[in-house]
Amino acid sequence: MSDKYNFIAPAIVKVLVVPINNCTKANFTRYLQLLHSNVSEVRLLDITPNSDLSHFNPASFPNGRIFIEFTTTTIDQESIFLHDFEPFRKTFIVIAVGTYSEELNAQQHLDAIKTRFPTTIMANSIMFDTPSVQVESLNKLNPDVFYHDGTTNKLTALETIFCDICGNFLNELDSYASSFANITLRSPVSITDSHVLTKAINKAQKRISLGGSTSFKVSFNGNSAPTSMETKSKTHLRHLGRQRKLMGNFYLLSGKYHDALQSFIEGLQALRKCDDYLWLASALEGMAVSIVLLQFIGSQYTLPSQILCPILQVTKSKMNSLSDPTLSPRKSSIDSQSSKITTNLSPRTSFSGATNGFTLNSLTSTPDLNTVALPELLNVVMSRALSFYDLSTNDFEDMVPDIVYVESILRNIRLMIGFHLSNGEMASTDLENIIRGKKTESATYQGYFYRSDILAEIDKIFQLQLVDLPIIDQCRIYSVLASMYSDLGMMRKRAFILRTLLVGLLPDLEKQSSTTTPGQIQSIREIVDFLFVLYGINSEPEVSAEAASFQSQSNWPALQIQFLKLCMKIGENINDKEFLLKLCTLLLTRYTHNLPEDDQIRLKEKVESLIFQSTIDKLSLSVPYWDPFMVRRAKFVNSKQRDELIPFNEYLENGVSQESTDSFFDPYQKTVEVSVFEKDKLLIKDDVNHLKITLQNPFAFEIEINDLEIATEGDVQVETIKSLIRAINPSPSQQQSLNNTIRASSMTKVRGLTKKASPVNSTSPNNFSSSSSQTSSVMVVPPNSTEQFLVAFRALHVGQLKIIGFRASIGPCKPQFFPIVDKELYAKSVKITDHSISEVPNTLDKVIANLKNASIESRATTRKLVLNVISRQPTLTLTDTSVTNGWIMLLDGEKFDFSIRLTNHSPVTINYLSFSFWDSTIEPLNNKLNSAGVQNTLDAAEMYEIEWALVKFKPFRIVNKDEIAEKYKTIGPGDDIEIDYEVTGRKGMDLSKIILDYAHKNSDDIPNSFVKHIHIPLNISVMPAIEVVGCDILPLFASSLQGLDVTYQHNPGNLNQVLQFISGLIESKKDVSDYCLFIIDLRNSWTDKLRINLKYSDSVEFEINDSIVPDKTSRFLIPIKRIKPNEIDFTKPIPSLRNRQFVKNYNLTEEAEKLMQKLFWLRDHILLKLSGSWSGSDDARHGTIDLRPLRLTAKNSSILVYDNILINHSICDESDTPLEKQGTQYCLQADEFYILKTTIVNNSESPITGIIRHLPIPRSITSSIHPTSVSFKAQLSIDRKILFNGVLQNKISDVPLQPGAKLELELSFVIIERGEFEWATVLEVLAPESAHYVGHEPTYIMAI
Amino acid sequence: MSSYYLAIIGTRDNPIYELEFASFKNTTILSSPSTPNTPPPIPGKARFAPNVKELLPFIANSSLDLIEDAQFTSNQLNLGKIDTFYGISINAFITPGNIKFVLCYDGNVKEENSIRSFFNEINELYVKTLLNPFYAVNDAIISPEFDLKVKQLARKYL
Repeated sequence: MSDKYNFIAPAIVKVLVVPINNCTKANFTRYLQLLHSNVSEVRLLDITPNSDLSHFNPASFPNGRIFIEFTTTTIDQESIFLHDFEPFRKTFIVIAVGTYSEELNAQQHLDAIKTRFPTTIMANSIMFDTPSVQVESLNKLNPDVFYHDGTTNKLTALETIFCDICGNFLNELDSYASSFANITLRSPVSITDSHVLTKAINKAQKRISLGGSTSFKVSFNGNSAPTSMETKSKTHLRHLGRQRKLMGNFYLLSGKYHDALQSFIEGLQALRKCDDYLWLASALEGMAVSIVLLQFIGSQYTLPSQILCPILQVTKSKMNSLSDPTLSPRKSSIDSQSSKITTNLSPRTSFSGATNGFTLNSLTSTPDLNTVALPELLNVVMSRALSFYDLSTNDFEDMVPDIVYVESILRNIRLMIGFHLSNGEMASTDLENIIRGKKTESATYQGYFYRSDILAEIDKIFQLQLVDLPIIDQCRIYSVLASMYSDLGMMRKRAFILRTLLVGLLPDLEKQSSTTTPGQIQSIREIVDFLFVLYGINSEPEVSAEAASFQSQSNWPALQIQFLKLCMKIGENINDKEFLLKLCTLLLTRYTHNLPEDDQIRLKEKVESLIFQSTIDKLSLSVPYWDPFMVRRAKFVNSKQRDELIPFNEYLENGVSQESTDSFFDPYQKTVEVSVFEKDKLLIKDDVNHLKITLQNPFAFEIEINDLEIATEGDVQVETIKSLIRAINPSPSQQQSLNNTIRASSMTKVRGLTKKASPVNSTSPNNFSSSSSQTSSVMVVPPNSTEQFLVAFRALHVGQLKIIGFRASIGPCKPQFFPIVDKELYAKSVKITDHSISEVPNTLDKVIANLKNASIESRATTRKLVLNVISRQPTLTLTDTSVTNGWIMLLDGEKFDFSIRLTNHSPVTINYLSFSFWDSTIEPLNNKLNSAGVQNTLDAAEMYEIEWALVKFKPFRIVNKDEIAEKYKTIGPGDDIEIDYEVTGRKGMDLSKIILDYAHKNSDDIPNSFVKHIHIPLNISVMPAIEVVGCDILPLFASSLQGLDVTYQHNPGNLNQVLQFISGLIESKKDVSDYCLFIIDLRNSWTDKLRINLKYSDSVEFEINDSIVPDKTSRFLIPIKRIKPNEIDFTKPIPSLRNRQFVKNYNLTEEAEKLMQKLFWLRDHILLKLSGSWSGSDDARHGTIDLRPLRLTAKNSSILVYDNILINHSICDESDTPLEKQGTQYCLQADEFYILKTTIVNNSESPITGIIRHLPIPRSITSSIHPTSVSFKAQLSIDRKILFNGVLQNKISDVPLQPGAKLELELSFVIIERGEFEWATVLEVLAPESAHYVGHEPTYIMAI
Repeated sequence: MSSYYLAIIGTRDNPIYELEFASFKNTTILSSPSTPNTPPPIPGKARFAPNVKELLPFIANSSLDLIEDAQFTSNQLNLGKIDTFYGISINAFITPGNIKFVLCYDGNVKEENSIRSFFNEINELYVKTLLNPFYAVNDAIISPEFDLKVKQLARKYL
């Protein structure tokens, strides 16, 4: 279809197509389509020559063409006043189309049409769908009525018809043109109001003079100055000029371009002389059109440079710049092309050379226009035409009408764009594109004119007050400008123009809101959608992280919001509620952060009122909620009951894992994930549970959540108990947590747009109290804050429950799904935007769909709340206990019996029960042990003690274990169980617990069985009773008896018993030195007298029964048989009861370690055999004595254990008869010979060698009480008192003494000085290792 | 006294700084012919008509097309006057980093030189901003210092 602003529009004949004979709409459009597709131009060659015609005989110029444009709109009455000035505006031909019918009188219709459209000069009709056989015969009947069979197979049929129509047209045009011959042509003046017409251009003129920015305001006084010509001849010239110009226009229409060019040039000559600028400009324009068309049809023509150059103000220098090949590279390219396209460019030059040869001479003053390239020439012509139009505004009478001026500019721009987009080759295809208004695909920059030149032309339009033009014209101009910008690839300019168009439409839309058709609304929406894309409103920050970061960083919210507001106005004017709702949604979703509070509130109110109205109008409009990130957190609230549940598997594992905590860390051990269920994610079917959810409200208004439902995934369903939903009192910190809120689009920090978070005083008393106290389902989130709610729900099935979000309806919005938002995603964004628009998506529908689907996966991560629903579990509760109030007082070591009774209160049978205990001493001990392991502060023996207290000591014991096992296989619903306990008091115990683990164990489904426990607390206070204060071990000799008598006379204790025991030993000829004396001090810390019983059960049992008065310490002696070295293995390491990792302590020397081991095992030995108990005076209380505090020293151990090597002495007289001891000593005669026999027994495991040293010392010295008064004699050396036969120091033997062997050494001696002596012997062992051994019992000698 | 609208536009058509202001010069000359009804103009305060003020971002946005066109035809950073719209002229400057300075002004300012100097100084300010390690390209410039200095430059040159 041809374009109103095509450059060759002045050469296009307008044809109005009207339906006749009850033509249906479908048929009419079909016929119109046929016309459009087949006919756009008619060559004069094809038209029957008609020599009768004075002007328009087609035969005279067979190359010419008549361009036809079909319109269906009625004739524009507004522009009628222009028809005489620009006849191409006139609709000359009316063609009536209709379906053929036999009885149709076509002529009658034609007459009616002629009266209907009086301004047209001819009316013809085409009857379609005529039977093919009749076409030819019918066509001959009436020259004004044509018949066509309506098929497309005879392509030429329509063209033939149009040739005839054009023949008719030329006939009529001839007479029409002739009618102008004697008329004085006047400049067009609006019939209605001449003032209106000129106003716009006046303003424009004013602006131009003010701004002075237009390029064409060149003064040409020399030309425009009034000449001395006579006024009459001037009038004549004007008349002639105008006539020629008008004829030129008619020639253009009739396709006779040579004649047109000639007429225009003649007109120009005349008009220039009389300064008739308006007609001059029009003639120039017509000339330009003629040139283009002549070039297009390849006809030769010559421009009279001498006439034109002054008019065009082309000087020689300017000419040079236009035609110089070096200055104008495009020209050179044309020249190089000219050889190829000889028909296009060369004719002008050659022709002018022939006719106007002398003008080619460079000396002549007038340059040759024919050498100028076509685009440059046209540019010069058109710019002159426009400047003449501009000049005409000085003359009120002959002022250019706005519409003429504007359209002229637009046509010129169109031409320039055509050249700009052409390949620069000036090929006929380029011209055809210009003429047919087609676009070339390859928009290279090879073409003529810079874009800036074209834009400068477009600027001229903006210097006019387009607002004053009729709205239709405005729309046309804006849309053609938009299409021009789009041709130039200037999308933003295009957007701007379209926006201006929308603004321009706004007032009229309001006026015509009732009459707007859906089609119009649709087109407006399309424009709006297109602009959304251009202004970046289509980015989707609510669903795409990239878009969000993009929007936060690179956006023009001010622009976007303004545009959206404009759209809203449009929506209001066309009363499109749906459109408005979508706009509100878009604004609230994407631009909340940039909207002031009152705007947000207004938008919300708008939405509410629209929804309300739509329900009245039954339009059933709905909007989604604007913030898809409403649910920020959802947390399952644990109830106490659930803490007790342990999965059965885990429970079984626990027993093992507890042990292994102490074992050393094994990095290669695979940790098996046994815990299938997280304990805090368990809930019981049919129980009411709670979710704590955090909802955000980024808006400045408060949101009301009318309905909230938990949305799940999978088989397990939940029932949301709406009546129990309530708000959690917001703490101040939560109020300010808005910073964490994910906005649909992040904050933009463009100056002036940053919205300061206003202090939220949402806790206004009314609102607050209502939301917290209310248990109804209305939940309110205050503005700009988050609020927490407790949502009660009940799981309806057993299994895994996946909560994926919530379904909520908020305010006026439809119920909608909200996922649980976890984390916001960020995306690195691209730096450069791409303005290429691949497709124009429906932005508004998209935002609605995004919100409805809550498809925010790429914007934020969502989470699922996975909970495990289990079937109902048994409940065991304590119903009775024999301990009053759960409090008992015990003495240390006291044993106490009690019983508890438990009842199963659930409908589920308990088939698993296990017992454990806990008391308050465990933890400190554990801590001590653990810290000791780390800091190495305790030695192995001490650790063993702690471990013993933890492991071996049992404070509780079930007395009726067998009975329980027999009686209670299961505890049915409502059944009781009674358990008897014995508790033992221990120091430090103040709180203890009996822990019962029970379960309904389903053997088929162990992973889904859960163990619950019940804790029965027992408060115990333990008072001290009998305590071990100290202990010691003394050696026991036969001689010790007297000493003991003396020392312990004042303290009876059990001394007599011990003496009895020893004398018993002596009597039974046992060696007293095989025993030692164990001394233990016991203290009674209790307030009553306590009886004690100590028992040492060895080969011979020794028992002590005594009583201790309060606060007194008693010492008890227990004879203990000494331990032979091989009786106990002292080299065994100290064991660990908890399988602790052995850590070697390098701080201890080997000897110290050995000693420690030895002491440990000795103590162990004693504790094994020694036991003690106590009882109160009235037998009400009884208990054990804790003997663990016993500690042994190294000295104790050497007393308790025999040495490895024994040294014994015996003394014989000369005759080798052994002497008897008298009591504890030998009585020897002085100056007598005796033999001392020393027996060495090697009990060790290796042979020994060594040196024996005899150390006889006078006893008087050692036992002397007053050493100062010792006589001189006493101080004599031992050599002077005893004479030895041999040496006192000697190697024991040459061969090593084998293990178990016995060696007897002899030494004879004579005592020469009377007195008492003590004979000690030291064996110095040299091998295998150096050691000293001393005879266990010194030999005492009395010499008389 | 003419009014100005300065926008610094980032690489993604995003404004990183916007300012409306008016010339401080010639206040006395122009205030005298003003009718007694209109309040005397405040120096430095832009006096765009409300409908024009609304249009300014759109004008600046649409001029980007021309800037992008002009940057390949000129080797100067200062692109000079590139567009007009209903009496509002638009001057532009493009930094080597493809940041555009757009200055829209009404009426009759012909001092291309002062606008060029103004742009050059703004460019220096912008480069200084860019040197800030905490500033990323295309971020909005919110520094009050920058704002103040731009206003001082406006007072100096325009």
